[in-house]
Formats: sequence, C-alpha cells, structure tokens
Amino acid sequence: MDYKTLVMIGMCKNAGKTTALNLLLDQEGLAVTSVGKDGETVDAVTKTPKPQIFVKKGTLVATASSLLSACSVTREILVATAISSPLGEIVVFKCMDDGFVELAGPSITSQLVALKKIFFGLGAKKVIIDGALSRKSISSAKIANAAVLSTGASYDKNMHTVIDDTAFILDLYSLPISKNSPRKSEDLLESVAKGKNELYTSGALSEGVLKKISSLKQVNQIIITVDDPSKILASRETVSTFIKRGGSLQLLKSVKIAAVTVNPYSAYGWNFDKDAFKKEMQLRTSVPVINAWEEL
Amino acid sequence: MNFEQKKNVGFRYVLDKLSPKSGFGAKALRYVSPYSTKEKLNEELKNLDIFVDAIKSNPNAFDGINAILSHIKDIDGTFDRIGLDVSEVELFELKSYCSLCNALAREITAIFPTLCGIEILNLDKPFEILNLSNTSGFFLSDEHSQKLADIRKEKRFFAQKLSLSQGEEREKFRLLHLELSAREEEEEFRLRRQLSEQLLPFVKSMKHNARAVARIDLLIQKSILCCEENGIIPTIGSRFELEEAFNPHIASILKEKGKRFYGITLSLDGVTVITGANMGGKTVALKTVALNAYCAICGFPVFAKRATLPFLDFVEILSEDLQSSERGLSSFGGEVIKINELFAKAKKSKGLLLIDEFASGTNYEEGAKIFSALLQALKKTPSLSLLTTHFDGVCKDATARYQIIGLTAEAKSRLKNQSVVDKKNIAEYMNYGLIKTDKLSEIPKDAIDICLILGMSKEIISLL
Repeated sequence: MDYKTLVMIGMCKNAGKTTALNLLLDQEGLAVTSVGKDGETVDAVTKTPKPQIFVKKGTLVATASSLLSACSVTREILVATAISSPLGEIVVFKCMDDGFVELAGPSITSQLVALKKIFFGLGAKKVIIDGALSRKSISSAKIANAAVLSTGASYDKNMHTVIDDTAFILDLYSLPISKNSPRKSEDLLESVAKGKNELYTSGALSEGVLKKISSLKQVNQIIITVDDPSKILASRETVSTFIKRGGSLQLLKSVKIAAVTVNPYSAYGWNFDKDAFKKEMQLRTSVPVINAWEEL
Repeated sequence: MNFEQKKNVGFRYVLDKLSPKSGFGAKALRYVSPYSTKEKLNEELKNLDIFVDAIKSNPNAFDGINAILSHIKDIDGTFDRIGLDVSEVELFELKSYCSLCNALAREITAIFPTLCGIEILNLDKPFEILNLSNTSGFFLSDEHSQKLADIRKEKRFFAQKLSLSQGEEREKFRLLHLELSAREEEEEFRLRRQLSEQLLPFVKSMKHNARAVARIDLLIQKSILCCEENGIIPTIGSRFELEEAFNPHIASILKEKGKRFYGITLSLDGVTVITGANMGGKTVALKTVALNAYCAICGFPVFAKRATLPFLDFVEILSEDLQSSERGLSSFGGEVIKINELFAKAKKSKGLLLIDEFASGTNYEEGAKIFSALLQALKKTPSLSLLTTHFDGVCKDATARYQIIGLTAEAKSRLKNQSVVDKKNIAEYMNYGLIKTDKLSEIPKDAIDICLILGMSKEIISLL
C-alpha cells in the first residue's frame, strides 16, 4: 500500500481492526498511535478477548504515559509531547525489541496532526493511526491520506446489512471532491430557503436536515459540500433518497480507502460464511477485500 | 497590591504582554512581586539593562536562547521526587533538562559574558548518570545490570517464538513473554530507583538552574516589553522623580479612542497632593505613578522619559473604584477601614502610598478636615504619599502640590469668543498634565468653564 499516513477505521467494535493493524506492523520505519484509547485486552462489553498489538523492533510508538508499563516491549523514551490525555501525557518511544504495546494516543485532530509531525521529525517513513470508528467525530481526512476499513459480523446478524452498510461507508469515502473552494459555512436550510443550490457546511450533515432537503422540489439542483466523510451523519436510506432524487454530495477532502478487511466471526456468538462474506463484499467495491484471519 | 488593584492600575496589562517560553518562566510570571532588598533589585535592573542593549543592537539576539527555553518544562514535581521512585518519563525529562541547561549555559555565556547573580550550574554529571546508554532519549540499557540483560535476552527469544507460532502454542509463548516482561519491569524499577538515588546530590543544582531559567526567560520578555512599549530602566536612588511618565494600559485605551496621553512629570517627597476639578485626570495621574513605581520595585522597565526612585518596600493604592464592596460598607466606610491598614504599613517601612480622593464620599466640611488630618499623620511616616483631592485649602501641610493643567489656552480663548465646542472633543481642550503649584492657592474652578464650553443651556447658566 502506498501511503504516508494510514488510519485504521472500523465499522463497529470487534470488526477486526487490531487484527488488520497487526498485518501492517511488519515494516521498517513505522510509527503507530491511536485515536484515544481503544483496545482493552478483553472487550469491556462482551468479554471477548481482544487481540493485542504486536510491534517490531525499531517501531516508534506514541501512547499515554500510564500505559507504558502495560507495554511488553523494551523502550527508549524519545519525546514527552506535552499533549495530555485522561491516561497521562502522550509519550513517544522507540521499541528496542519486538513485543506488545497498549495504544492510547491523542483524541483531538490537531493533536494527532502535531504528533504526526513529531513522528516524521524522528525519521518515521509511515505513520499508522489506529482507533477511529467510521462515524466518529475525528476527521480521518485531516490526519491521513489512506485508510483501511474493517468490517465484520459483529456489526449485525444479517450479513447483507453488514455488506450494505459497509458499501455505503465506502461510497461516502469515494464521493467526488469539490473543485471550487466553498464559501464560509452557513445554515443549510436557511440557504436553501434563500434559493441557493450550492451549499457548504463545515459542521455535520444531520439526518433531519438532509431529509428536509431531500423532500424539496429543487433537490435535483442541490449540491451539498461537507469537509470529509466523517461529517455525513445522515443514514444510508436518507443519503440514497437524496442522491436518487438528483441531489449531489461532495467532499472538501477525503481519504482513500486502501483496503477493506472482513471478519466473519462476531463477538456475540454468530458467524458468517467466510468465503461468501469476502466474495460478496468484493462484488460491491473495487478496493481489495482481505480476510485478515486468513492472512495471519 | 492585590489582583484587582494590579489590574486596575495596569500592571496586569503589563504582565499580559510577556510570554515566557519555558515552564519555569511561565510559573515565575504568576509570582512576580516586589524585590525584598535594594541589592537584588539593582542586580535585576542591571541585568535588564544588558538585555535591553542586546535586543536593541540585534532584534534576533535571543532567538537561540528562546529556542532552548521553549523546550524546558516545569518539572518541579519531578525534582521533589528525586531519591524516590521516578518513572522512565521523569528520568527522560530530567535527562533532557540537564542537557538543555548545559546548552543554555553555553548560549548565555556566548552573548553575555557577565550577568549579575545569574549562574547556570553545570549538569554534566547528572546527565552522564542518565546517559549510560548514550542515546538521545532515555533508555535503561543492558549495561545497567547483567540481570536486566539476561531477562531481555530470554524475553526476545519468546517474542520471536510467539510471532512464528499459532493457536495454543502461541498463547503459551505469549504468556511466557509477558511474564518476562513483568520481570524486566521489576528490574527496571529497581534500576530507576538506583538512578534516582544517584541524582540526589544534584537536586540543589537542578533547582538552582530552574530559578536561573525563569529569570533569564523573564528578563528576555521584559526587555522585549521595554522596547515595544517605549520603556526605560529606572534608577534606584534617593529621590522620587518621574519625567513624562505614562501608563501603557490607559494610553492604549485612549489611543483606541483617538486620544493622547499626557505625560506625568512630578517628584515626590513626604506628602504630595494633586488637586484638580472632577473629570480632570487626577486618578489617571495616580494610576500612572502607581504603575511605574510598582513596575520599578518588581524589577520591570518603567514607562517614562526618565525615572529615579528610592528603594520602596511596597506600593499601595487606595481608590474608590478599587474598593471591594464585600465588607458591605459604604465607600467612605470602606476607605476608613482600609486606611488603618495602609497607615500601619506606611509607619513600619518606606513605601509609596497612593490615595485617591480620600473622604470625598462624605460631606465637604468634615471631609476636608479628615483629609487634612490624614495628610499630617502621613507626613510623620517614613513612606512617600501621593494624594488627590478636590477639597480646597487642605494642602498647606503638604510637602508639595501639583495641579492638573486643565483647560488649555485655546479652550479659554474659544470661551471668550463664545464659540461652543463639540462635546465629543472636550478632551482635546483639556491638558491632563501636571504643574507644580503654590500650596496655598485656591483650586482653579474649571467646572463652570466646562459647562460653558459644552454649551450648557443659557437658562441655567444665567442662574449661576
């Protein structure tokens, strides 16, 4: 995969994000961190044992100071970043051998951007950021130029729902990029009422607002631009109604989904047919679909 | 002065202009207070002079120092834990601190061969203690103990095994790896404690340097302030003389309104009184003297063309707009309570007392009597006092009296010509500067003139 910063995003908890991450950690010049605290060793809700992150010697890691002793790698502390988190200051260390790490990085976009700068300053060639759920407020487009989307049986009992919703997220990430820089954000409904067709909001596009716009007569002339896919909070149904009726959605910035990983095993007792799941997912996207469990 | 008073006279405004780069500098800024001895104050002012010269000859003189300072964090808490259990991050911070201090010392001596009373002690030894691994960060290398080396070797073995295995076998190796990691952690804990104890003899030097870092940081900021706000370094002497002093806070507010600040020139000895009509700028004069005197005794630049001050133990201001209503007294009641406190202070040591319109809240006759009594009592104290009043005939016991210049000649000539002045521009016809006046002369009565200038209704004027 060709990227400088990769963000791991998941459709839900237990979608197999960490397993997918572990596949990527066997590289030279790598730096890793996460968006806030994600991985416990056992999922707090479902009591499912969660995979640990295993890093190689030489990897740069940023995590909260109180989690250092929970990392089994031998480490050299390189930077105390002064970025604070509920689990203590975010610290950057270099792994002096192979082992497990517990990640709890910054949870604010600007802090992640600052941390990235520190990583590259220390000579990292690639940065991998773990932790964002696809709909979390963190703007993945601002922190990374590529993403791996993990989906799995834990998302829903019905495999088709999982595939449909995952395909929807992939569609959002591949929405066209706006060519002209839009005017400063305004209230969308007010702008529509004033007869404007080209809309931009720097905030979130909510379900309610998009529903109202979709019900308008002139919907087929409306183009809505949002900052990045994480800002679209409307449901799949509402977005597809809007598009079907002729409306357009655009992004200021997006991140390229480099791969989709599928996890046929759920944390809740049901499993999918691994081949069918992978195959059907692949039918819906041109992005490579990987079963991370088979790769291990 | 308390927080509110500092804000009111414009000292907070001055403090807010400073942006220290180091953690210690930022902390020291919160605790700026008057110097306790004349020697220490003179030392600071002498250093400030050197810093101001440096920045005047090269605006980028401090770039290198600032770059180092910006990396120095406030690690006072860590200093206090030296000798006890300290974390790897704390040891990292200490190592960075030692190397930053050494770099700062090199940079400082390159620019200033001599600074008074500021010395950055060499921290090579504690740095070496923390740099056994000879890496840029902090790392407990295998050299620290054979036991650590052995544990790590075994841990690496199982890490490799687990990465090559699967299922139950992997789980077995994972647990072994984690167990060794726990043993490694235990040994590292012991070694960190050992290092921490080895650092004990250097705590004093580290803390000493923290104070030096804070001083240098603030000196740089104060020198920038001095240049940006047209300040000067005050002379600490025996007399109290200010020439064309100004108050940057008030001046900035006036500037926004397109108005100018009239420089205040005065000398203080014993008890000095400023008289003038209402809206005549007496309070501004008082706040300007208060700010500059307070800046001087805190080792800051002052804002004047020339400034000589004696060493003062304190600067206190009592002004109606600075009264706290907390005590639930009337403003006059509040003044009376407060004046006892200040009077006691004025008797005990040599300071500067600034009192705005004392007893003006009560009736004229008694107010004037109380004012005179206060003036006489203050005269017997070792402190300097500056009082404002609009009472007549109360200045005979004062050492000196100043008058607000008031209406300008131009305004008066306009008055003669009966031309009405634009109300918004009344300030343009007022000169808020000070002029030394005879103690016994009457206070010029500008109020009726002001009414005329502003074009008060003839029906009222005719009844005056």
